[in-house]
This record gives sequence, structure tokens and C-alpha cells, in this order.
Amino acid sequence: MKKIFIFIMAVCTFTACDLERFPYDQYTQEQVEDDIEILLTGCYSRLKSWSNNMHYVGEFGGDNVMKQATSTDSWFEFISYNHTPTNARMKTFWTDSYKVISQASDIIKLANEGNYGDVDQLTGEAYCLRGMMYFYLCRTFGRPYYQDPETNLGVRFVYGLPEDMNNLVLPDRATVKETYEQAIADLEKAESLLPAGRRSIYASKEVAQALLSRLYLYMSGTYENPQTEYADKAIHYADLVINSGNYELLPRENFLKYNELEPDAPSQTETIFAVKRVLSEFTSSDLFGSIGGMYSTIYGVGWGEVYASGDYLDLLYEVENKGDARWAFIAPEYTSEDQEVFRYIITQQTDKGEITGYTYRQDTITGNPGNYSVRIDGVNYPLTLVKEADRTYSVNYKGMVYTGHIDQQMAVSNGYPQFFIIKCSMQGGESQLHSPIVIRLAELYLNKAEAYAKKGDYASALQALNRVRGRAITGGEYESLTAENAAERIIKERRLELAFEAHRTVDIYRLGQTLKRPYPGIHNQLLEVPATSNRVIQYIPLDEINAYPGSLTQNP
Amino acid sequence: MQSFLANVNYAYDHKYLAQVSFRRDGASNFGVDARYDNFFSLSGGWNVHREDFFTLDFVNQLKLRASYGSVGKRPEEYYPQYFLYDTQSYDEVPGGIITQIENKDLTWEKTYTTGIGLDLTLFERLDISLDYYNKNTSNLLYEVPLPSVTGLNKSWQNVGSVRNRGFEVTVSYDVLRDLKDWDWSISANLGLNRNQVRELYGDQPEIILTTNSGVLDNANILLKPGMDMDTWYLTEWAGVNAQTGQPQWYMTNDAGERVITNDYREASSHKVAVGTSSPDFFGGFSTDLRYKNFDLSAFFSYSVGGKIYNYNRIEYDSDGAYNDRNQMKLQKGWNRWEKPGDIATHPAASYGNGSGFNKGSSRHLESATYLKMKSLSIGYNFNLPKLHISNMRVYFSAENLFTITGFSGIDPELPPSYIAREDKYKISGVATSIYPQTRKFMFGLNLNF
Repeated sequence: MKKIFIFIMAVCTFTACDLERFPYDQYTQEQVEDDIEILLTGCYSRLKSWSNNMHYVGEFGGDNVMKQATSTDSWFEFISYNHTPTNARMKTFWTDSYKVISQASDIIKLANEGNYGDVDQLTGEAYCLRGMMYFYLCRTFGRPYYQDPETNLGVRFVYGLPEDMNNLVLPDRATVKETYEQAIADLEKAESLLPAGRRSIYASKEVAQALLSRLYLYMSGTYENPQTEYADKAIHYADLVINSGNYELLPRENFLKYNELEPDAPSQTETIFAVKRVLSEFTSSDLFGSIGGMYSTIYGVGWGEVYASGDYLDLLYEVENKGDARWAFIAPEYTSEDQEVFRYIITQQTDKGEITGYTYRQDTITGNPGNYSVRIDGVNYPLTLVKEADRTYSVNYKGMVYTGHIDQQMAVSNGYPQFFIIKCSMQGGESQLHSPIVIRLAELYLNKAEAYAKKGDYASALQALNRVRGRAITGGEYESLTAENAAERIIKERRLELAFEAHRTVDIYRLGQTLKRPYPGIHNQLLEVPATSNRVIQYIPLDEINAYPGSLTQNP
Repeated sequence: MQSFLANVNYAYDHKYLAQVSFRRDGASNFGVDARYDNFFSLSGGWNVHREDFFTLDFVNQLKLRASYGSVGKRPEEYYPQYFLYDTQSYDEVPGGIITQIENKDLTWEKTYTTGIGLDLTLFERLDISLDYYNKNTSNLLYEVPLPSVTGLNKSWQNVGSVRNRGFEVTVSYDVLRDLKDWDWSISANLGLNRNQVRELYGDQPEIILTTNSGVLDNANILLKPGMDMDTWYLTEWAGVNAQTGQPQWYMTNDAGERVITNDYREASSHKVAVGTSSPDFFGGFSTDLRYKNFDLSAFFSYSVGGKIYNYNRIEYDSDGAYNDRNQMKLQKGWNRWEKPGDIATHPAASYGNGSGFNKGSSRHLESATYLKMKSLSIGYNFNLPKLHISNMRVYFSAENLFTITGFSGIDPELPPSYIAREDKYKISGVATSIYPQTRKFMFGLNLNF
């Protein structure tokens, strides 16, 4: 008995099995070190999630959009300006940015150590992505450059995975100036390593140069107080891309369908860098969560809750007969009934005449052409013709003159007419598929115009500005620019052209301007946010401060 | 997993009992250097009532028990110890993005438990069972949050140690027995557990965890030596300002004092520990009654103490912020501010207000105390020898009859809720939208031929 027992024990102890098990749906260190291209592709893939939040924080804080009701999504804080440090999207934005930075830094390290073929290409792309991340982080969490860049805080620098995770102590944030310097260094390195050529969805020499143009523009101060040495650099880098021969502004007919073109389609000669999305990455419900999904409902896909603002539409209406090509990106949603109404924005006031807000009205019209009246609350008011081409009329109601349009009745949500924005939809004909554009050629012309105006060279500014304006409005080029009107015209053109591309929030504050939103929407219409406000930038995510081994100063 | 196990039991004269076991386990989801560990247990029992010196007749059983041993625990994930890169594609080309850092030393979580117990039967009617335990868990396995500036989100570590001490008592009593027509017994049990964090890794003074509970808000849990492991770490609510109807919270001013503020942002950067989700004590009681051919049995369960973070109220009790979803009616004891001078639990409602009235704070902590009637069964037995049926029982039974609780949510007995960000189910003390336990009524018939 004892012998059998000992024998069984012995058998058991000697048949050990190998306990090494590896995952089949994730990469391990060994697999990655064999092929660090995987890491670079991984960095690009992270930009997909990054680009959503980059868009919301860049656009929703501006005056091109309006929301029809309160939302539980954390981007609502960008609209309401009730920022909190627990904003989930800002946490994801921070995390995504640093994942790319950290992994790009590791690629640079590994590529230089090992034997990976085209080291310059790999490291060049990694530097470009890293510089881009630092730039966007600084514009989100760091104050505008013209306001004390040497004392205001930017973000932390990271050079790859730390060696010893357990005893990690990290220093506090660098200044805005230092962060910009780091971004410039990374982008310049990328410029020197990468070959020229249009790759559109991957980094190339021109991508680095284009980003440098915008970066130096941000550093060039306000119109009132310009820093001309940086303005010069902004122009220099913009010209490098424009003169490279690899990019061209789309002609007007193609521009009208900009959103439908894939960024790497051969006919897409204007997009310099975009984050490519493909349909196979989405289930149909994911498309609801895409950028376009918030701006519109197409083929039943999309929430359609954020619309073009009344102010933006007014800018488009400045050119009669919808001659401004940028109308192509606004798709008003009409009701199915055949009903013409007079649509206008009314000012809401207290009895004492204090303005409390603005709202849309769509009231029925009666009468014949040339003799219209609008029926407001059961009483008919005569309509006065203002402009025949756009059917613009005005009405005198309760002592105020309101200008509006006669049009088909539009569908409303929570009382607001649905001016859908389709600039971020319909790639390849798919409802809400869209590859967010990081930078395109038109912006470089606008950068040049602004930089030349800051230098006082209005002739050159006019030339650059008219390239963009002439493309959008046939025959709409300006005759001249002067010190009095240059700033206003250039800012307006930039706003019209780059709307819904995540520029407006930053563009307002970096020029020292004040955000004003006197148009209908769920936002506080009386709230004005000056460029000196603390709410111009975002809070560092609180979870990050809690998990930080060291002190990380929060924005006030 | 690979294990070796040996177990020996010994009994002498039905009086002395002893047991020893030993095992050695290794698992694939630990660090390369730390896969294997040893565990053991010893226990003994003494049937005192069988001793010759024991002469108390009314004591039918008196048994003393003691045990000491260790068990190990593995992490829920399969590959927590490797460098891991998530697969993500770009333009349909596969890529990898770093997500987890390696931990070569990741090893078994070990719990040493000391237990003593007593089983007592008196007068052949009363059974009492008492147990005391002390569990020390060390090398606690945890997904530690990392600063995202490193590019990582988390890493698995053996985090620290925790102690759980508790006490359980079960009593059952045959009230009526050996009577022709009556049989009645009742029983009750009570348990209480006290949990305390003993130390954290790397001499960290505290770790703040997120529960990832919902779209809008994230309750935090504080791990700090000397405190309960499930301590809530939240912005502290200071009630409604009686003059203005505005919500108020506490913040800490520069002098270190807690003062009232209207600014949620300020207050949310001065969170404090406010209670825990661990209950004070819990248990159940039941009764079994028979009269002639009728039988009745019922079972209740209860829990006293602890606080639930009612996340649902952020969306459904939002003081007017979210006008696109149904809102809760004011529960008993709640009232809404209407005019200066009102002392109210809820601030003035404001349509579509985006100002943060309803943001997460200790306002949403509610007592988790409850008493539930879990089941009831009433039956009648028929004897029908003439029909060759040896027994027929007709019964009515019900489950989840009622719950008595002050909790305003769906069910104070929280089931695990699905955390989308982590793709798993977890019990976190946070109440989210769940399917309620259904109340069932059944009628039945049992036939024995």
C-alpha cells in the first residue's frame, strides 16, 4: 500500500506541464520587437479616438454651432462652459495623446537601436505624430501663446516608457513656451527626416511643415500686438507646402463635395493630413457616435442635435443667392408638408426691455408675392421685402424690426429648426463616415493672410486671402485690405472656411477676442467669455492628478 | 493551472477530530518568477459533550472548533503579467498600442484565516452556532491606475494587505415539537464583518480608484490604511441654501477649514471620505410551521448599514437638467425649495439648467438598510388512500414579496452591474439601471403515486 502511494506521488511530481500561456488577441513584447511598424500603425490608430475629442473641444466652444437641449455627453461642458475636472472626454483625450507620445518615443528609441530598414521614415513619422500631440495638448490645456507663455503651464514631456514604474517620480508641467519649443523641435526633426510627397493619411514632410505654419501663427500674437518674427516663419512654412507642387486647392465643383471624398483619393489634392476612417471599423450604431452623427441625421443614422448657429448662417447669407460654396455643407431639414413660412430670430425680453435670449420662430404667411403678411400669435403683420434673391423680408413686431427668410417649413427639435451640418458626413456616400481633417491647404493660405496682415503687408495678405475667398465665392474676391478692415475680413474668412473643423474655439481666444453667442440655442445666450477667462482652456483630468507620482498643477 | 494536493483527516473515539492539508499551486497568469506558491490548513474539533467528565444532561452537543490556514487567489485576467499591446487597425492595416506593462513578480494573493467556533445544542431543541474569524489578506491583486503620461493606463500589482474580521451566529429553535397536531421551528442568523486596509504598495499613503459607474459621473473609492476598503471618496454635499434655493457643497479653504461654497468645481477638488458601502451587519430569519395537514414556511433577509451611491439619481433626479428623460417623483422625506425660508432637500428646479446642480456628490449616498421577505410557502396535504395516491400536496408560494427600505432606487440588494469601460460585471456599491428582482406567485400540486 505504501509503495503504491509513494509511486503515485512520484509520478505526480515529475509530470509538470508548461505554464506559459500567451494571448491570441493582443500583441506581446517579443512580437512587437520583431516588427515595430506595428507600433507606428498603432499610434495612427489611436488618432481615431483622439480625433473625436479633438474635434469636440476645438469646435463646440465656438460660435459656429448651437445645441438644442441639455446633453448627458461630456462634450456638453464645452458648450455650456461649465467645465469640470472630471470630464470623461478630456480624460480620454489626455490618455490618447500620451499613449501616442509615449509609443512614438519608444519607436524612436527602438528604431535607432535595432536594424529596421528605413529608420528615417519610421522615426520621422514618429516625431511628426509626437509634435502634433504636444501641439494639440498645449492648445487644449495651455493658455493662448500671447498671454505670458513663460509662466503659463503647458504639459509634461514624456520620452517613452519609464524604466522603473514602482519608484516613479515625475516633475510638474512645463511652460507653454517650453511645450511649443518641444513641438517645434519634434516637427522640425520630422521635416528633416521625411521625404516630400502627398500621403494624406500618414505623415510626410509637408505635414510637418503645415503644422509648423499653424504653430508659428499661434505664436505670432494678436492683430493689435503682433510678433512679426513668428509671422514670418508661419509664412515661410506655408509657402514650402504651397510651392512643393504636391498640393492644390480643389476647384469649386469638387470643393462642394469635399466631405464625400476620401482623404487619400487621387482627386483629393487639398487635404494635407486626415485621420482615415473606414466603414469596416464601424457597426451601424457606432456611426451615431461619430462626429457627423451629432451634426446630422442621414439615412436614419445620427442624432442630429448640434446645428449651424444663427450667426454662422448670417455670415453665409452675406453673399446672395447662396453663392457662398460653403452652403454646400449645411443641409436644412424640411418637414414633409408643403408649407411656406417666415422664419426669423426673435429677441426675448422682460417687460422692462432687458434682453433674456433669442429664439427661432416659423410663422405662417398669407397673401401673394409682393404683398406678404406673417401671422404671429393670431395677428397679421406686413412683411417688407429686403432682398429678392434670398427671399429676405423684415417685419415690425412689438417695436422691433426682425429680418428673416420665407422658406419651406423646417423640422424642429425642441423648438429649434434643424440646420444639419454635413461637412463631417457622407464619406464615400456612407451616412456618417468621415475622416477628420487635421490640416488642409486652404488653411495655409489663411495663415499667410493673417501673418502678412500682422506684418502690415496688406497687398500680400489680400492675395492669399482671395485665393480662398475666390474659390468659395465666384467673383467674391476683395478689392483691397486696409489696416481698418484686414483683421475683420481675415477672421471672417477663416471662420467661414474652417468651420466644423475644430478651429473656432482656439481662433477666438488666441487673437484676444471675446466669445459672444447672441443666437438661439440651449447655451446661455448672454454669456460672454473673454480671452482672459479661466474657462478658455480645459481642466487637467482629475484622475490624472490623483494617479500622478509627483505634483501636477491644475488649471485655475 | 497546475496543482499538487494532500489532505489527511483523523478522528479518535468520536471525540477528537483533526485535519491537515497541504497544496502547491502554479498558474499561468502570474509573473515568470512567481508562479508557484504553497498553501496549507489545519483544523481541530473537540466534541466536549462526549467526554466522561461532561455531565450536563440538557446539553446535547457542545463542540469546539478551531482552524488556521491559507488560500490563494488569482487575478480575473488571463495575462496580467506581460507587456500587452492592444490590436487596433488604421486604414485596415493592423497595429498595436501599448496598454499594459509587465510585472514579472506578480504572484498569488494569499489569505490566512484564523477561525474559532462553537456548536451547542440544548434541550434537544435549541441549536446555537457561533463563529469568529480573522482573515489577513496580503499581496492583494489589484489593477493599479497609472498616470496616463506614461502611455499606460494600468498595471497588475500585488498591492497591499487587507484584514477582514467577523462574527457569525446561527440560532434555531424547535418551538413546538412532538405534538400531534403542531410543529414549529424558527431560525435566525446574523453576520458582521469589519474590513480594514492594512498597507498599500510602495508605501503609498492612499490610492484613489474610480468605479466607472456611468456616463455622467464616476464615484471614487479611497484605499487608505486604517480605513474600510470600500470607503466612498466624494464631493461633500452641504444642502440647499434656504434663502436662494441654490445647491451647496463643502470645500476646504486655505486655512484648512471646511466651508460652504456654491461652486461645484471648487468643491469637487476637495473630496473627502464619506461613509462606506460595507454594511454593519446582515442575515436572515425563517419560520417553519405545521398544523395538522397545513404547512407554512417563510424566509426573510436583512441588511443594516452601509451606503449605496445612487448613480441613477444623477440622471433621473436632476432638478430639471435633463428634460429628455423621465424624472423621479419626490420620495417621502424629500421636498423641493420654492421660496426663501424653505428648508428643502432638493434645490430649486430649473428647466434645462446646465449649471451642475445634480452633479455627483454625497447627496446621492443613501442608506442600504433593508428587510426583505424572500419567500413564503403555504400548503395542504391530502391523504387519499382510496385513490391509490400516497400523498397530494396543494401549495401556494411566493418569492420576493416585499422589501422595506429607505433606498430610493430599484433594489438595495445590488447585483453586479455592467461596467462598459472595463467590459465586465462588478459589484461596486453603485446603483445603476438594473432589472428588478421579480415578484413571483405560484400555485402548485404535488402528487405521489
